[in-house]
Amino acid sequence: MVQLDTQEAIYNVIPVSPGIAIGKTLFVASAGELHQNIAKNTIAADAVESELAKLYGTVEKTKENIRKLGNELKEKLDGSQATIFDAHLMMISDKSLLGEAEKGIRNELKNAAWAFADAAEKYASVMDAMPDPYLSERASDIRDVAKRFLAVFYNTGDSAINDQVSDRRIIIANELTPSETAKFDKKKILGFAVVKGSATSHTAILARSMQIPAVVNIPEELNNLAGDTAVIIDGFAGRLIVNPKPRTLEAYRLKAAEANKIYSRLLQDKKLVAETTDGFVVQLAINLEDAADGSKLSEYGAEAVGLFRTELLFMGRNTLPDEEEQFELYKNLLTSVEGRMVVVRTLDVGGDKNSTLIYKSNEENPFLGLRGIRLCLQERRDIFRTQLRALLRAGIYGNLKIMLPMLSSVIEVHETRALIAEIQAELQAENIEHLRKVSLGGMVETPVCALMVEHFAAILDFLSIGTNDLVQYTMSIDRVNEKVSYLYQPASPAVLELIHRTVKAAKRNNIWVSVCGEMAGDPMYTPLLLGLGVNELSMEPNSLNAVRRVVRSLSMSDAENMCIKAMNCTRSKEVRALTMELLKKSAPEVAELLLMQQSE
Amino acid sequence: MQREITVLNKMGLHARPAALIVRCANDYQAELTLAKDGEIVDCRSILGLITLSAGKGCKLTLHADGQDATQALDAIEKLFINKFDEE
Repeated sequence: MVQLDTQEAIYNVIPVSPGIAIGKTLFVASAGELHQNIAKNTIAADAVESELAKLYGTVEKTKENIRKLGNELKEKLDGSQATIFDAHLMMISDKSLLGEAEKGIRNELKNAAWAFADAAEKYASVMDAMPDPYLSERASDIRDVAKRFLAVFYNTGDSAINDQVSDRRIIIANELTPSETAKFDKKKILGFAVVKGSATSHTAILARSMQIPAVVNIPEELNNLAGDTAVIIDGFAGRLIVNPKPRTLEAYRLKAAEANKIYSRLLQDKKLVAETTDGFVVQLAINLEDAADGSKLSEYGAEAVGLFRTELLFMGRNTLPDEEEQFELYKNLLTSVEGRMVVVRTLDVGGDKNSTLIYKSNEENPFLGLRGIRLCLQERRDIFRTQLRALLRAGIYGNLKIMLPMLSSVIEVHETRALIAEIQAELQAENIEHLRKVSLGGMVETPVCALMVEHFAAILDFLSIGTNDLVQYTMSIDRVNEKVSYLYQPASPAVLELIHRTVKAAKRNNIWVSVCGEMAGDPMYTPLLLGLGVNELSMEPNSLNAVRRVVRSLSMSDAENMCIKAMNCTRSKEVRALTMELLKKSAPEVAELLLMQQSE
Repeated sequence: MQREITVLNKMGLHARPAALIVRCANDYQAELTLAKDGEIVDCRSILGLITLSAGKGCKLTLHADGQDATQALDAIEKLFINKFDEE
């Protein structure tokens, strides 16, 4: 691992979650990317024996480490969860694995870390390729073991933040996958600085929902930053500062205090309705990933759950959740929100979110492949059916709405309605209580859906615009590819045109329409969405107050007038200038927050 | 000394059965290997066993060498016959 010198270094990076974090780093290696984090130097021929001693010494220490963790977890969890550590112990003591590593040291003169990681990766990739999803998932166990080994070897603390870290840290990683972040003890994270990712990547969404700052696109060499390095993350302007000087630290403490002051002032409006100065009301809702947060709606100041993502339920585990487990979870969520509306999105995997348990994909273009409703209808009707059954049963306990992701043909709606009718008949025959009248909506997130929206609006009960994907597909860019992320422009007149069409179609068919993408939570775009006539904005909880302030400071006629101008712009930059101008005039504090985000 | 054995359990030789074989093999002194289509792995290597990728119906050769070879063969064969207590 590269030990950088202690000079202050400032990097321009992409901010994806606002705020300032000051603290020490904790390095988290990503599965499959171990190799990038290892110094690949060969050893001298006469150093073989001492390198072997290092290998076996580290193996022993890692075993101790795993045993300790296993014992701790056995106290916290039930036995079945902790038995995974028995398997890990067996793996790290494995004869074939260690034999392979030993060969790497003896024959190829690799250093111990390199030899071990190579051997582990060899087995992991064999397992990756296995047709049985259970086995292929075990590849991640071997990589976990290798991570632990490397963490001990480099003495960077355990790779899993939950284990040994007592103080809060800033996570540095090459890439974070949903299943990895699902394991984090969120209380121990101050912020994220990640090499790969974008404003709409999983890390970013997670950071915003946790209300902690995050930046992405950090230089790759920082991925080798030793643990315990002092850093500052500026999630407003997009800066990562390594080894900050005392003067820099002071400046950032002030900036953090200033931002906190504005945030706390915005917080005072928490209980107020999002109503324009001329009396138009917009419903403010939140996007949820963790059903346990349903009880916090009032605390957040939200009126509904505009998007409950069900993917988390399926990630980072060895078996799929069955009907009972899902039923309990949906039921608890619906009761915990005390009668408020909950929009549950059916399983939306594929693209950048996948689990080999659900679909083993070797698609060249997963974002254009079998994802969302396509996957549910074509490949995994069994999973879809179980989820719908659980939802229909839970639906009687509250105000449930079901939403389909990634619609591109009305056939998908018809097929789902037919499936729902089939399940209802089944439940009826089994004499099980269930929802008889289902409110079914769809996400408008493909250009084809937005272009054909009139037909969708005619057969659905509501529409919700998923701007993350809609922007990506409209601009024809992969939102995770940082080389083209400059084209990711929610304020593009093309996107506005599609939103406008969608809202018009919804109004003509007397159904409501919401926006649940990142755009809904960015106060910069609130005047636009308001002026276009959206009924509901659903966002990460920490965006609510700024958005509420903007809605309450504007008049609908001002917003509408600005939209007419915006739709005639040719570039997103002109659109942003228009909204900023309006914001500076009517909601100066929010404008100030937005300005903090622009690099000086 | 060797015996032909067949994988009978539905899930094949995945992590749990592999772990049972390793534990069982550790109770004996004999050298123990399993072979499938010429690929030979050590019965004390969980990764070796898993990556053998032996599904249900797969024919394997169990080989033992050492003083307690017969007992070891019996014990491991019994695991296979009992389908690793899986169904």
